[in-house]
Amino acid sequence: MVAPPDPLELELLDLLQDEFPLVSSPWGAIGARIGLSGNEVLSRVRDLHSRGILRSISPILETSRIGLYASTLVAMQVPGPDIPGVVRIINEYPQVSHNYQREHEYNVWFTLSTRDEDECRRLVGEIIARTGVSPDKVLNLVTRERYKVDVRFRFDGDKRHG
Amino acid sequence: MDETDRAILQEIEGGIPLSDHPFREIGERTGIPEAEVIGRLEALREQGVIRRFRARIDQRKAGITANALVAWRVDPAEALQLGGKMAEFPGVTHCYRRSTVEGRWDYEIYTVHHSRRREDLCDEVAEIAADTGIEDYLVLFSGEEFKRSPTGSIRAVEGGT
Repeated sequence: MVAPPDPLELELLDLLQDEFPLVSSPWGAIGARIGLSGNEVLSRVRDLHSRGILRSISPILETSRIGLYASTLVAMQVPGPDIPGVVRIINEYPQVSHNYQREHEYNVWFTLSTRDEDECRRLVGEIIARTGVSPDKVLNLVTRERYKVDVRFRFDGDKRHG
Repeated sequence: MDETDRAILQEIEGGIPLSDHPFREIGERTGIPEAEVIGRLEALREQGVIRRFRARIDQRKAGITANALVAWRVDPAEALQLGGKMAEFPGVTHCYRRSTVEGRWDYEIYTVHHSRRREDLCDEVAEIAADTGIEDYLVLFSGEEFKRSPTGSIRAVEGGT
């Protein structure tokens, strides 16, 4: 079991979801906001990472600006015993970013971002064929409009100050 | 964006090194001076190529264990406007409009929600339903996570598999 974050770590998780300082010593810059040294921040960050709570500190790219103009959400009905094999095939593709089991008749859901709609259709077709799942047990839900993507979790770590 | 930008982004898309001077280390790996790495990342952020630069959290391990995709069936004529409205609810982290599959699946708007408890998540969804008047929706709780990586991957652009 993963030890849950303590109050200081919750505060740090909030801060780390702000824009990361692009400076030579970013940990010191973050620490200065809550009265910690850079070394203390870095050691906490490493610990959160080793427990898997912090996945990474990464740039989130605007897909259209890097040449990915099409995306889709695909849902499949996969019999339980077949799931590991099907998932292994889906996850091979770097174009697949998210893949989750969901509680529904359609139980495997993944997202795919590609250069254009043709490539999107082709890859979905290829994945369906390789997994052996019947096309009538697959939904290809092509993205038409993106209204919001703002993944940020509020832990209210600063509440302990007041 | 040029080849040097791509090299830097490819080096860090999985995460910056958790070391004293992460950008110096990226510079050493790519043969680019630290100041230039930082300058280029700043420029990419200003240009909007980098939408955000921040921590990615595994919310489940931080106690947010109820996570759901909600599919909403709406009047197609109102879909565009409703999508914009639903995106404004603070608990919604993602909001999309998607194609339907004729005769098999007619949910057009999708939202994503996260909470510590399933009941709270369902309450939040019910509130949006009441507010928008949408009666037909599916709450698809996520179970096992098979893959989760940043959406825009340089490797995806290069078409590698």
